[in-house]
This record gives sequence, C-alpha cells and structure tokens, in this order.
Amino acid sequence: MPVNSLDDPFNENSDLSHGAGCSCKSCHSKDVGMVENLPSSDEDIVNRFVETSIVKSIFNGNDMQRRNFIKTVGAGTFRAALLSIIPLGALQACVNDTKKKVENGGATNAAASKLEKTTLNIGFVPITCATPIIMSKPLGFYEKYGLDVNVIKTAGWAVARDKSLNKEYDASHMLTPMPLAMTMGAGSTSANYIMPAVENINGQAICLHNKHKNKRDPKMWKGFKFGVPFEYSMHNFLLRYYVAEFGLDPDKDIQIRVVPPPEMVANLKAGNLDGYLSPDPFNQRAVYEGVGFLHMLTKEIWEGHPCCAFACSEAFAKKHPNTYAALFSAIIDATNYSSKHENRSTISEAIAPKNYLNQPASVIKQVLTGKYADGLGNVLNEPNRIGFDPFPWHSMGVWILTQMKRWGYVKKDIDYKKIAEQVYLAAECGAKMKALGYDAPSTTYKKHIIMGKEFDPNHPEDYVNSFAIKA
Amino acid sequence: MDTNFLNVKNISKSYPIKDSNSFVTIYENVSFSIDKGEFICLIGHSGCGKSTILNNLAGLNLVSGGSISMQGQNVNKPSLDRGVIFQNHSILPWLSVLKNVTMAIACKFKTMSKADIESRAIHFLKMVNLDDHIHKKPSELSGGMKQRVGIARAFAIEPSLLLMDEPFGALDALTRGKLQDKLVEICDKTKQTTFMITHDIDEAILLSDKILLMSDGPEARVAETVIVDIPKPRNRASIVNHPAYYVIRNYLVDFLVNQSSLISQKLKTGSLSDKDLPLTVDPLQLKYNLENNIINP
Amino acid sequence: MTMTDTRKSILLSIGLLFLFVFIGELVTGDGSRHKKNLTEYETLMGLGEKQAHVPGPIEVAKLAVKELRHPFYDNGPNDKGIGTQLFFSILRVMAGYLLSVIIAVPLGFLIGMSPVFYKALQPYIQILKPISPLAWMPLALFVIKDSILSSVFVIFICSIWPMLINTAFGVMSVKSDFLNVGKTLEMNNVKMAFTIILPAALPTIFTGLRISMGISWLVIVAAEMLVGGTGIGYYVWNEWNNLDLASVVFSILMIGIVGMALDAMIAYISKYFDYQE
Repeated sequence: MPVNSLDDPFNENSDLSHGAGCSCKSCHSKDVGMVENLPSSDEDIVNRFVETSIVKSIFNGNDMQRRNFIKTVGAGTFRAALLSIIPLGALQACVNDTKKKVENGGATNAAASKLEKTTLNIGFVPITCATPIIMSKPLGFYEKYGLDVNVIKTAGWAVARDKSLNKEYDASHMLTPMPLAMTMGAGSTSANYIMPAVENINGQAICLHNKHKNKRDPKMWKGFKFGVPFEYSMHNFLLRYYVAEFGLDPDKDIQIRVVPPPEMVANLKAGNLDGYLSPDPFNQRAVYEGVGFLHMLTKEIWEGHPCCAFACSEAFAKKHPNTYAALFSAIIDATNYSSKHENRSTISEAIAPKNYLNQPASVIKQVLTGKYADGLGNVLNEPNRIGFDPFPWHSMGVWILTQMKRWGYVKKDIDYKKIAEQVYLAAECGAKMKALGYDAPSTTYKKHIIMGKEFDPNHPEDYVNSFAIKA
Repeated sequence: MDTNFLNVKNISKSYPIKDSNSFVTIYENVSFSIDKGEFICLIGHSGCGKSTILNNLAGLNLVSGGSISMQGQNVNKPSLDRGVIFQNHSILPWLSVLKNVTMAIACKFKTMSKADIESRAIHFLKMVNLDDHIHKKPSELSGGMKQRVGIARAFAIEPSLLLMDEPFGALDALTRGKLQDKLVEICDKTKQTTFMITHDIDEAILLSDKILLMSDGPEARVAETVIVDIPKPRNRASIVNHPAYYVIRNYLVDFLVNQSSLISQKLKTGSLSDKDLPLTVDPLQLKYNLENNIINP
Repeated sequence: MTMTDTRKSILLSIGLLFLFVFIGELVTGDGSRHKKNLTEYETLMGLGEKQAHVPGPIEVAKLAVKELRHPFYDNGPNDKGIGTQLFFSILRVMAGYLLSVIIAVPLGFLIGMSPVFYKALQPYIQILKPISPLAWMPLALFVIKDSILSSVFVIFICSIWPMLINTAFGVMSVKSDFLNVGKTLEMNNVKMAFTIILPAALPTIFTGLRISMGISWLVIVAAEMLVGGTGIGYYVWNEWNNLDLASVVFSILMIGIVGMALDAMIAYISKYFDYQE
C-alpha cells in the first residue's frame, strides 16, 4: 500500500508527493527506505494528515522546497515555529471530532458498534409506494448505515399496523394517514406513532373495469363498487374527494370496500369491483392483464399528494436513538435515490423478484418510469407518475385530518396542527435531509391545490365546512 | 346372628317414576340365604328384577330397603370378594385375553409378582381351554370363548361368592352345553359358592343345589325355593335319566307358566301373605294338581 | 387373463389421471399471447409476455419438479422454498394442536365424567364451536401481540372443540358394563380413569383428534394468508399477488398432500388404540 503521502512532513528525507493511487516505482517497491515513523492508529493518521496538509500548503505543494527548507532550519525548529502560529493540536482534535460525528451520522460501517440495535424487522406491503423501504435492502442502503434489515412482506395494512403495535416490526411501511389515526386511537389502540418520512408522492391511479370504458364521467358511477386498500388511506380520501367533487356522496352513491391491494386485480376480474383507487403496480397490472384501464392518475387530483410513509413508534425512536437515526438516514438516502429518474429501471429490476413485489418487472417499470400503457390504446409518458420525496409536510397531515373529520372518521374536535406536528416529524426530516446534503424546504406548512381548490392549513375547520358533501 | 354365608333380608327396590311423585316397586320382601359352597339359581320372568337383585348382591346397585350381609359384613359396595360374570361377558375389548385376566388378578393380589400373575392367569385360562388364545384380542374370539374368558377372570380372583348374570344367555345351544359342562366341572372342583341368574330351566337343574323362583313383577317376590335333590357330580348327558329330573323340570315349568302370575295376583288380593314366602319346596315330595293349580303339600 | 379388483382399480386410476391431464391440457393455455412485431403499446400491455392464466397439468407438474428440486431455498425473508414454508406451517399447526390436545383431552375427560358439567358447558361449546377461526385472528393479534403466536392460538381455538366434544362424549358413553368390571375389581377413580375409561374412550377421542387435525390444517392456510410472513398460506398469497396460478395450484396440491399425510399420521397412531367389540 502506498503510504508515502502520510510520511512524516517534518522529515527532510520523506517524500510527500505520492498520493494513494501513485504508480511510481518507489511506491510499489518493497525497499522504500525513506518511509519511517508511520502513524498506526486512526487518530494518528488524522493527526498526521492534518500536519501534512498544513505543511504542504505552506510550501504550496512543492515538496522539494519543503525538504530543502527543513534541511536548512532543522525539523525541530520548523515544528516549533509552526506551532507558535497555528494551534495544530486543536486543529487535529477538531478534525478528529468531525470525523467521529460523520461516523455517528452513519457514513461508514465503523460506527455500527454504536447502534443500539442492528438487526431490524421492517414491514412492507408489496406495492411500488414502498420502493425506498424495499430497495434499500437489495441496493444496500441499510447495510451502508450498519443495519441488518429484514424487509418483511405483509398482507395488508391492518396486519402491518398490528404487527407494528405488537413490536414484531421495528418500523413499517404505512399509509400517511395511519400514524395520525393510530396516534388518535382511531380504528386501533392509541399508541404514539411518528412518521419521520413520507415515502412517495403521487403514484396511485383510479382503475376501472374494461366494461366501463364509456363511463369516463364520474357522474355515471352511481352504484359502482370501488376498492381502496385501507380506510385510513390517501386512496380512500382521494377517491371520496374526487367523486364528491362530481356530486356523488361516497357513502351513499357508491360503495367503497377495503380490499388488500394484492387482491384488487382478482376482484376486478371477478366483477366484485367496478374499479379501485389503488396503489401500483395493481393498477398497471390490471391493464397488463387486460382487465381494466387507467381512468386517471391521482396526480391529476392533487399534484404531489403524499401517499405512503415510513413510520415507527415513538418508543422505538426514543429507545434506539442511534439506530433510528441510521435507519432514518438510510430511508432518506433511498428515497432520494428513488426520486432520480435515471435509477428507476435499476430499481424496477431490483424490487420485482418474489422476495419483494413479486410482479413482472415490465409492469413495475411502467409505473416507475412513467411510460405506460393506459389500457385504452395509448402509450402515455408521465415521468412524475410517481415521485419520491421524504419531506412530511405538516400541511399534508392537516389535510388528511380534515378529511378524516369530513368523512366522520374522527367525531370529536381536534387540534389539527398539534397532531400533525406531533406525528409528522417535518423539522427533523428537513434537518436530516440537509445533513445528508439534500435540499429541504424551510417551512413545514404550505397551501395545497386539490382539484383546483385551495387548501389553507391555517383554517382547517373552515375547509371542512366548505364542502357540500360530507358525512 | 346369622350363621349363613350370605343373608338377604326383606330387600326391595323401587324407582321414582319420571315426572311424577310416585314410585314403582320392582320387587319387595325378598329374603333368602346361601350357604357356603352352595350353587343357587334364580329364575323368573323378564322384568321381575333378577338382574337388579344380582347387582344388589354385587354391590353395584343398592337396595331401597332391607339388608344384605355376607359373612356378617353389610354389602353396600362392590368387592373383590364377589366376582361377577356379566350377561354380555364384559371382556375389555382393548386388552388381550391374557391381559383381561392379569388385570383382574393384579387388582386382587396387589403384592403378587408379574410373573406369578401371568402364570396364574394362564392357569385359569387353561382351565377354560383358552391357553392357545391368550394373546388374541376379544374381537378375534367367538361368543363362547369370550364368555370363557369372563369365567376365567372371575375364578382367577378366587371370590368368596361368584355372581353370574345369565352368563350363557347369548350363546347357541351347543356352545352353551359345553360351557355348562365346563362350569359343572370347575364348580365341583372348587366348591365355589355361586349365585346365578338364568332363563334356562335345564341349566338351573344341572347346576343348582337350590333354585329360587320369582313371581311376576312389578312388586315381585322370591316365591319359592326349590330343592334340587340330585346327587353331584352331575353331567348333562346322564342327569336327564335321574328320576327326579323331570319331576323338578315339570314343576319349574308349571311355576313359570301358571304359578308365577297367580302368586302375584294372590299377593295383590291378600290371599297370600308375605310372611308365608318363600315356600321351600321339594318337588319329589309333592303331589301337585295341574288342573287346580294348587300346591298340595 | 383375469384381473383382480385391485389391479382394475389401479388401472382405472391411472386411466383417469391421463384423462384428466389430457382434458386439462385441452382446456388450459400457457398464457402466452403469441404476437410478434409488437407496437410499443402492445409491448407495454404485456402482449409479448405471458398473461395470468389457469395452468394446465403439465405446467403445474414442471413447476412442481422445479420447486421440489430445491424445497428449502432461501432468497430472503419473503421468498423461501416450499419445503421451508410447509415446515413452518406444520410447526405452527403442531404447536397449536398439541396445546389443544393437552387442554382438551383432560378437560373433556372431566366434562364427560360429570353429566352436570357436560350439560352446563354445552351451550358455550355450541356457541364457540362454529365461530370461524379467522374471526379469532384480530382478537388474537390484539391480545397476544405476536402474529406467530396468534396463528398458533387460532389453531388452538379451532381444534379444541372437536377434541373436547369427542372426548367428553367418548367418556360419557363408556359402557356401564366396562365400568362395572372396574367397580367389581375395587378400582379407585384414578385407576378406573386410566385402565377402563381412557382406553374405552380412546377411539372416540381419536375421532375428535382427526377432525381437529383436518380443521387445523385448513385454518393455518387461511391464517397465514392473513398475517403473512412464512408458511404455506403466505406462499399461496404471495403467488396470488402475482396471479401466478401455476404456483397456486401447485401449493394447493401440496396442501392436499400434507393434509392427507397429517390425517394418515393420526389415523396410524389411532390404530394402536382402536378396538373392536
């Protein structure tokens, strides 16, 4: 190993001009006599590195000049002179500290020993929304942060919720409304859940049975049976919002049934459902199987709406702060990686096998790349069909709460912002994103436009009351 | 104090009638005694409570009134001193022939070694000619063989009193005859005190020293005690040649055909009283008039 | 040449198999859409790839050979071989089943010994018995807080009733003659229970045990489809997700075979305790 560059900078005989990849003869011969007094420990390497850098910079990188200077004044004098103007010790300590901090942040495996828990079980429901959680496994994002994660496929969200509450899962893929509902104890026992990150935005679709190709106007949907993956899901709230905008009361004019996503296509085929607002790849799979067509993507209802989330119990995060931080970092990294369109094909291949989504890669690719067949004879190109953005806007949480209120899932008066802020860790996520070098928003509330109607998170109750159709 | 081996005094049995406050009396004022070494048969029509009396003696079923004592001890629960051979043999079907017998022996002789128990069981099975079948399950045996296992089991525990409830009732005539011979042979050898219920008059005469006759139920009585004065050892082939045989047989037939119901009626009308029962009868000493249905001592 | 009935029936069985395979192949396709020179839309519609379809017998057989060649492969927590999945299912069934044997048989015994107790418990047993085992699942998950233990519990709760009822019934209907044999031999209650009542009731108890085993095996598949993770039920569910019906049919066959084996096992054991009168 070429180590010359770490040789003693105060030695006139040492040669600092060789870098790590140096190919010169002396770096590869065994009898490099000049190399002496090499640092051994990690810390010493850093100290030496600091010294060397400073000395090098003084001589502007001219090694011959340095050697001549030391020969003239003597190494001891030079070091003393240097120390009188530069706090070398403090500098070294500072760099060492920084290095440790970086390690704690999870940049290298060396920090793994500091994790409270390295083997984790994380649940996921096999849909493309879970991409960052899933692909972190085959693409090594968890490993990078010293975590050995089992990503465990789960039949549906009720089970994902129960297994999380049972602590069988350390963290889980959930739907963005779920941690809010769980925290309020709606539909389950009350347990404080936190949602450090959103998984995906957009990425859902309304899929109808082929026999309804001529019923594109939602006003014609009276009596339809629709599937949604879970009661506390964006799917449910978006479908309700959508049909209500067309004057249909989702509780009276149509039937909404909870159907686990994997069972959607079979139910559509069997005629048990007229359509569904479901996570992908089951919309695209229905097209692929020639059963249904894509009526619309949900991004047309609300561009940038949140969908799935990464969530865990507050207790888990408090008990395992370092593990939680590492996991959080892995998820942010993975989400960022997923958001890049150039990675989408790789991801499609990585998450298609039986162990993960167990779907044809060609179907997943259509969802992730946004170049897809709509089942009506068109090839559409919508790169933003699904997006991945971890930032959990508090305003999104407030919107979800307004819909829970609107449709009667929550009866009592609630403090929208307080709950959203308790569950959605927007500030923490923003800080994490910045720490990992990504852009993060500077506010946690913003106005959203849903089907042309503005939602102001500052007036949630007014917003709820502004709808003509509600429970 | 009674000197008899077994004393039955005025026992009765009644059951409450379902959904009413009254009782039905199966039999009452039944008294008799058995001496050691005696072989007693009980004959009567169905429904007169024969099996119930046997169960009373066994201690499986308690009397409603009166008392039973054996060797001075009150009989109120089952005891290994009284072996029972059941009507339908009651061999435990999940055990082999040998195990059926060893299980019983082990219950009686608690300190006996396993080997001794087994050789004792084999001895008794040999006695009933089953030594070639000891490892068979009861389902592989014929009805007669099963009953022989029951006999071996009962004898193997050497009960002071052997109780038999129509042991050969379910068997064909040929098998029954063979088993009767076997029983005669064993009882002669062992002088086993025995109380047996039967429907079969010939069987009763062959085996008994005394035959108890029951009047018809309900409210049956043991009406007569018939002495069978035919010397032992007896055997099936030659007993029919004994002068007393047909006399006794005719007497018993007459009782069952005519007298048993007549006596019940007389008891009801009061023309016969309990204190006169049971009459002890020796048919050889009797002249009886079938036309008048009257007993003339 | 004349044939024995056994030989005839074997030949007929084989003939039926061939007929089934033949008809099966006739009425099923392989899902390929046989189209060349696809437009982009057609490619995206998957016209170049196989569609979900009902598999023919040969396709299932091929898959079976492939799967059974590596029954214990492990491609991560969500993709394990059929052998591993069956192993997990059997393990759970056994756990729940044995638990209910341990509880149901002694309890049934006591109930059978006491007619009053039997009558008193009847209404509860009759109400609890017909409850769909899966209806217990949410309750179990909520209370037990562990999905594996919950499936074990569901097996337990659904297999206990036939055992309990049959044991009680078997004990109650021990012939009084057998009991009398014990009584005349002056057996105490414990000895009576073990030497007379238990052996007498065992065939009836085993009937319950067999029914329960059948139910347990039915239930585990459904339970695992619900909670996922591992097991043959999860395997079916996972293949269903992908509309891979060949795998579904294959696992159905495996479920049948294992179910048959489990039943045969109990039947085999019960032979040792059976008796004929």
